[in-house]
Amino acid sequence: MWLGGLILLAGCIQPAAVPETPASLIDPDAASRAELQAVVAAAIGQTSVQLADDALTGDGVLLIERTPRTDDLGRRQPGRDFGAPRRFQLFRAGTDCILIEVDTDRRWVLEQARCVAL
Amino acid sequence: MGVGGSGGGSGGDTAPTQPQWTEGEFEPASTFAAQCETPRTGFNADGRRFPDQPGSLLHEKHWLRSFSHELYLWFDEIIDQDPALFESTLDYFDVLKTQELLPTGRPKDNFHFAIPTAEWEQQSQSGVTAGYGARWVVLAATVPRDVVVAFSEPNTPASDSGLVRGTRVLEVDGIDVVNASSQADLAVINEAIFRPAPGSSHTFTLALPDDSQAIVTMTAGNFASSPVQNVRFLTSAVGKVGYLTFNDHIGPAERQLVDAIRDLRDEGVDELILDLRYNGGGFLTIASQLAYMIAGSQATEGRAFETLRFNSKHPTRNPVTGERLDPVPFRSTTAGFSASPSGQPLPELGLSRLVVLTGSNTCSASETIINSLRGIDLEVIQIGARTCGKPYGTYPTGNCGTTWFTTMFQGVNDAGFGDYPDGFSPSGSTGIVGVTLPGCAVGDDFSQPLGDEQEARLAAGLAFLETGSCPIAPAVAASGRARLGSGELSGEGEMPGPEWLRNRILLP
Repeated sequence: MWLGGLILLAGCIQPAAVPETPASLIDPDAASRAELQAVVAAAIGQTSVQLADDALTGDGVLLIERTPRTDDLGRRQPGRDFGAPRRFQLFRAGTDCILIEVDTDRRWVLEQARCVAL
Repeated sequence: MGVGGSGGGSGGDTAPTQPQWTEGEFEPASTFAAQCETPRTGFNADGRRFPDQPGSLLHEKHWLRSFSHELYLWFDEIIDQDPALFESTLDYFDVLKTQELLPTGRPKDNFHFAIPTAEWEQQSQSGVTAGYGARWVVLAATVPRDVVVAFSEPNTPASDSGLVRGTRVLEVDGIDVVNASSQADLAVINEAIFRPAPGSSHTFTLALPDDSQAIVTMTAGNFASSPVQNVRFLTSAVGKVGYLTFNDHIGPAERQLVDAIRDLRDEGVDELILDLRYNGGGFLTIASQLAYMIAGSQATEGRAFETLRFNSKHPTRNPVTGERLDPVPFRSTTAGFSASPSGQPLPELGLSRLVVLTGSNTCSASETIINSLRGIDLEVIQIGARTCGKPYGTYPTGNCGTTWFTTMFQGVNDAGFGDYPDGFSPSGSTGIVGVTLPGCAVGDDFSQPLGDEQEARLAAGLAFLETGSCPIAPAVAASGRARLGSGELSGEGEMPGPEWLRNRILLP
């Protein structure tokens, strides 16, 4: 919900009753970007997260990983990284744009977003 | 027992007992963990409450001392010093490493590093940075400065504005980048080039590779990089040669590499030139997958991609994860990072040799590709310059709000080799030379696009495949930057990252 510049995040939702189809965002604006950023940040337990201006507009997949760090010599640290990125994917269910964290199946409705089925 | 009990951790009004130092005697690091001079309150990114308890700076230093004694790869080369004599944890951490030098005179441990935990835990979309979509190389940080575009990401202000590889920055917002001397001017330049605020616009005067000039205004944004680019099929006397630029071991690279290798396989390539010159590492899983896809199932069957070796206290188990230190096989299936679903067979080329294009920015996981393939007797030909030399790794470990990067392990290949702390160097290199591989020392050639057969390193790679020797003359002379056999090659430069930017950038 978008109220005068204040984003009220919806909590996780249950799987939709209608079929969910992979989707991508269309024409993201400041409000939808802010909402997406807030949803993803909350999902990963951060206060903020850096996303591309065109996040989820291509294949509808969003990978989140630790922001690369470099040492004083400009070398990536540690550079030999274990683990894996966190994966989110956008779906369309009816008229809703739903963001799903793939590994946990947690899902959020993006109320400011417009999306199209792929 | 040389160190008194800490007595901390219970909170309340009782001041924690200060630990005492006795040379050569160590309590477990857990004795001092999370006993902080300034305990954090609240929750971490995982939603768990911070473990911090009231402690002291001395507790934090004793934790560092014991932690290093337990896990540092060269723990027996640390000179044990009284933590109380050091002003801060960072000062003390600086001496908790080996002071030994490599035979080449470089420090044995180049990778001692610490950052605030809050900074370490920051996350972002894979490959996203704020800027214009250009990847800069600083060839000279002092007057006369030289800032060059290494490449531009597609569909960004940089590519849309014609910032092709080799484009030089002459002025920013009317300030002379090459000769500026005042701190105020440098601050403007650094901000505009390397860390512009998204939404801010700056005007650049550029010298293009064709010697023309252009003035462009670009608006910064948050742009995602494409880690695999320039997939090409080249023809040569030795058959079909595949080429690809691989810049970053980030999540999206998995799918892009799978697609690229599948295309190369379907095209029937006989050779591959893998351009790693700007690849500083990242996820090891992706390195393992790419090595598998190059060598193929037959060559990697039953062989180790890598085995981790910790210090002599931990010969059989990973002291951080508790897992057995078994050889890690080459990964033959998708991991589901971006190529989904996971567990799908990877395409394979089944090559018996590989040409890698390298430079000083080729590091960590990228070097592991080279070393792992050499470990299964695949011939690796190296064109370019010495790699950074990082066969080591760590599990970044937090305590009291700082995350510490101390070298914990070395990766060795199937043949048990992992000693390349001075990197890999192509044959003919001079100056500091790492493990020498067959190939050619060739400078970075900014006069031609990456993936162009006229680009000096790619041209030398093709020539080496065809003749088994290096071109006699510089493959490209026009830019004056490509050099063959010039040892410590000019034109390597540095690719600014966050900490590098913070401390160095462009200097007076």
